[in-house]
Amino acid sequence: MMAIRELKVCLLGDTGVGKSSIVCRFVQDHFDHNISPTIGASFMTKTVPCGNELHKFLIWDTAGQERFHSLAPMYYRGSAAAVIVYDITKQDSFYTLKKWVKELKEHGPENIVMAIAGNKCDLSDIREVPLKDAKEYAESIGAIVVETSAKNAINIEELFQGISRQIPPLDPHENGNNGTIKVEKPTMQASRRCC
Amino acid sequence: MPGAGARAEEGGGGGEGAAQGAAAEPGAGPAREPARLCGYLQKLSGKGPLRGYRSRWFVFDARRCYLYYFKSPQDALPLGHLDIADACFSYQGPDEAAEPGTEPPAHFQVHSAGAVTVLKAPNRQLMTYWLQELQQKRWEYCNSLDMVKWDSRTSPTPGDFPKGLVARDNTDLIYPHPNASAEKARNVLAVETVPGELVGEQAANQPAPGHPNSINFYSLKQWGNELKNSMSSFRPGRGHNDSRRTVFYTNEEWELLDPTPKDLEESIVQEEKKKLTPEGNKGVTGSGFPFDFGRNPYKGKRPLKDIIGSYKNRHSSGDPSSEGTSGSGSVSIRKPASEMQLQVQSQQEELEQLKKDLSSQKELVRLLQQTVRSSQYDKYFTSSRLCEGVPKDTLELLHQKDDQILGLTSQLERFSLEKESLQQEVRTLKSKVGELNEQLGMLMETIQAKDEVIIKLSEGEGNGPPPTVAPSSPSVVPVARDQLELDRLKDNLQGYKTQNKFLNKEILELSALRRNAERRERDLMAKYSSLEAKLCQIESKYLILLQEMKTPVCSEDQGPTREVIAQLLEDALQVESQEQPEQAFVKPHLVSEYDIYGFRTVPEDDEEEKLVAKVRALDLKTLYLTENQEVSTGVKWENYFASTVNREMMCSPELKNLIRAGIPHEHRSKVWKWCVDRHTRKFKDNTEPGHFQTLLQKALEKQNPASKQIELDLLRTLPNNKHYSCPTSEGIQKLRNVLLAFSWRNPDIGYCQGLNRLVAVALLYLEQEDAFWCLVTIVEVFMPRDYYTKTLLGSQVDQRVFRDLMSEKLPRLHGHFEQYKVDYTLITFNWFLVVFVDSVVSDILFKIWDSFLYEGPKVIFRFALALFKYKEEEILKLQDSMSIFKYLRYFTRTILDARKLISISFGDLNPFPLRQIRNRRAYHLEKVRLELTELEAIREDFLRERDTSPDKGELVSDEEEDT
Repeated sequence: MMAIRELKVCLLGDTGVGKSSIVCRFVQDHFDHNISPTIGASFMTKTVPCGNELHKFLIWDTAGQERFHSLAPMYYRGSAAAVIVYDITKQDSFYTLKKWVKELKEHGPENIVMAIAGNKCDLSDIREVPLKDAKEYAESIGAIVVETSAKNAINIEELFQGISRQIPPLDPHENGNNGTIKVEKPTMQASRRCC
Repeated sequence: MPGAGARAEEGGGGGEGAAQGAAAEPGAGPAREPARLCGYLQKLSGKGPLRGYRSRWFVFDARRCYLYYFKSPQDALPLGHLDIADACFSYQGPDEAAEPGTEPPAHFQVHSAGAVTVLKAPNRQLMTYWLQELQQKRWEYCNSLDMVKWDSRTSPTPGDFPKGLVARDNTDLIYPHPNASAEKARNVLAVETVPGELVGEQAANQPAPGHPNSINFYSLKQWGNELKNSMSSFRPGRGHNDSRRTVFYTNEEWELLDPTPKDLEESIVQEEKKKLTPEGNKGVTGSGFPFDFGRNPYKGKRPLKDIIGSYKNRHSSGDPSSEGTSGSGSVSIRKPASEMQLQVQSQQEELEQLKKDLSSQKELVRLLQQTVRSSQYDKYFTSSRLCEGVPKDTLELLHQKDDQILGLTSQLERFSLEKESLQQEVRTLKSKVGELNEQLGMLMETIQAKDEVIIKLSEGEGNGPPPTVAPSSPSVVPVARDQLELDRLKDNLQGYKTQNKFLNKEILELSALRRNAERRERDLMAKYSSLEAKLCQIESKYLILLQEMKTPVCSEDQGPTREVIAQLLEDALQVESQEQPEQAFVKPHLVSEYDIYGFRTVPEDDEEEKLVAKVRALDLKTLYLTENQEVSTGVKWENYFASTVNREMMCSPELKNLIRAGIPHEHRSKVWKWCVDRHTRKFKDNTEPGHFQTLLQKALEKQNPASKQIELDLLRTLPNNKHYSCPTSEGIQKLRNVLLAFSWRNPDIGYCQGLNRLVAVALLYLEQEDAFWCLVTIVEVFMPRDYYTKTLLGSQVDQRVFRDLMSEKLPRLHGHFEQYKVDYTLITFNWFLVVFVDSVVSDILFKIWDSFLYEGPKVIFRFALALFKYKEEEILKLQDSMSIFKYLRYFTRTILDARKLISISFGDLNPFPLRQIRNRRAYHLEKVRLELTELEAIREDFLRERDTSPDKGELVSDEEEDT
């Protein structure tokens, strides 16, 4: 019987960049042009295999409008990972991404894994954020970076697989406990990955 | 067995009813409340001698298509009502026999419920208005009965006038002022009394009544006054008595002038008096001879002055008469009389002047005679002295005296001749005066005769114009009379055309309504046949079973037969139980894809099919219960509205309980608008009219920080509702307008995600301006400050308050959540921010909003706690945080029994004081504010770093819209 680890993941990012679409594609493999804007937060789950473990993601999707930032602590508190999304066609959303990174570093969980997702890569003809800039920034903060398209199902699975690989493994003596999430020896793996 | 079948049948019937109801009333936008049709009419009531018109206040009620009537506008209970839905109308055409100028009849008949009611409007125009409006209301109401099958080709011909303009013009006349009615009554009385008082003293004292014939009456009175004023000129010195004289006094005046001999006698008397006076003077003066002689030249000049004065008087007396002639009235009558009067007056004055001259001349003659006698005496005395011794001097004096005597004698002769001449002239003038007097008498007789004719005409015809006094050309009068007749005929023709048009429209409408009723009847007959067929099938099965049961009694071996019977019964039960649910289950899908609010009824989430199936099962179970509950609720609302037909809705425990149970779909727009108006009255009073339009105009002219976000969220608002599902949906433009207008009204908030859903729900039942004020109600009246501002401070505070209430009202559940470290405010935050939109099923959502718009935000706490209590046992069974979170995500959509939820909200959770919530809010406000201060500090640091960053230029982006 493979061990099941429950991992809380929160999605952050500017409004309209496609946070909810990414979650919908990942969990239900479905895309809707007009998903209702998230108010407060939304909660979905999906279990994926990773090595000899099963990782069950508890994904919290949040509202992107700036005034909802004050609610973010409720969602990223206790999270194992954070996916910070920006829209490659909007420079402003990349700027907002940097704000989130700073807040997570100062107020977020100590060993939170950060993943940067540049969504809407199917619209590269009107790109405003070069991939080079995103890679350099991700490297500087030790984060995963990947360009995605929820619409065309590009790199969505890869995004969450990368997160799974970045999650620190449990201590050997706790390997058999189901439902218990305890991390005692954090190991920082500064691996970089690009598509 | 028959009972089971009957229950299944009822269930099926309920399903059909619900489906039909849904189809009949598609999710229409909010209907604007039309202006209320009401006003004063007179109703014919009573019997026999008591029968007559009584003034009543009439109000039309669109819900039942009833016309209620009250004693006064302030009454709450009606005296009765007329059923307009099955009524037909008629009225009397123009009456040819009526006299010209009379008002055409303004009463009409309402044939309804086998009785005829006669109503009377203040005038013809208002009668036409009422008939048109009632006709229109009947049409609208009867068509709403089968809205689905309405066919535009059966529309009646349009009305005589544009409805809007007619309604607007006549509305002002619908509310006659009480004094105006009294004034009209007074006018009628005045008309009746005028003929009797036409030439009397009272007529002159009466104020001019507001009647069409007042002009003629005025001119007649003016003419009479003019005549009286002219007469008074013959009686100088008696002006102060004019007001007490009648017209006939003039005759007496003329009688005084007729007896000429009397006048002469008076003259003689006066002459004798004058003789005595001079003699007295002579005795006093003694030797006044030189004095008397000196007076002669002065007296000789007097006649000339008197003549000049008489001429002046003639002119001055003529001017007033000329001015009088210029007044309005019948000039042809007045001019001859005036001229005659003028001549008589001048002649009379001349006569008097001549009398004076005669008297003075007589006096002069008398003085001269005295002088002659005195001279003769002196002559005698002189002769005596001459003889005594002074011959020369005396002789010369004698000669002078002789000369004087001759001169005086000559003068005497001349004056005698003048006297004769003047006497002759006096006689001539007297004869002229006699002739003029005769003419005046004849004229007075003529005037009196014409007065009598006028009196007769006024009494007989009343409203007829007075006949022309002056004789006119024979060819002109017939033409004028024909013209009047022609005008009257034209008016009658127009009246008949109008009546004909109205009756044609009435016939067309009644025909269309009858066709609709026949169609409805055929549909009901078809349904009846179908139900009858089902009944026959059930009876047939029952008979078969009964027959089978009879057989075993006759046979010896009963064991195998019983088994067969049991099998048949079981099969029959299974068949019945399978058929009916399936029919009811399938029918809603076939009938409608959307519910009455426009939401899609078929969920698209396939992975949750199991849960959806459960939802459907619960829905079916609830359907029967809901059907009965809805019926009783509807009856209560009908009774409530019946009591508010003639007055405004007011807050009351009765209304509160009705609203808490949910407002029926057909009344929701009205009640919501009333709630919003009540909460925003202060705001509206303080802002200029057209506030919303002003803001909207401003928003369309230029952008603000909120515009971009609003545009982004429009198509992400209620995407499963057909009114907001695509860019061309009607709701999208209205949603944009309201959100933009609000962002300009309240720049502190601008636009917050979530407001779009509040407005979207409001627009389903309200017009966009009312939806705007609904948003103002929620954001600025109901919710605490900073609920939707930059930090959502108020919203976060409410979540802390809610946690306290959960701990207090549902302690077991609260402990359970704490044990598994489940922060349920992650879910409930959404409920509060958008008042449960997208969290609960449609029916429950709108019932929550009914209470919310009436009572305010406390309702949110009530329903949030009730939702948890509703599923408390289910949640307590879950034993890990993952399961609890998953359940919390969906459980609100599995709650379908609104009645139970409402019972928990407003019953089980009591007491529920608002003061407690306020105190908790104040306490938590400070705590949350401190926490937010820390986050704000981080952001300020980041901004400071950004300002000094060399990459600042690269961060500038185009304001390009998201494709």
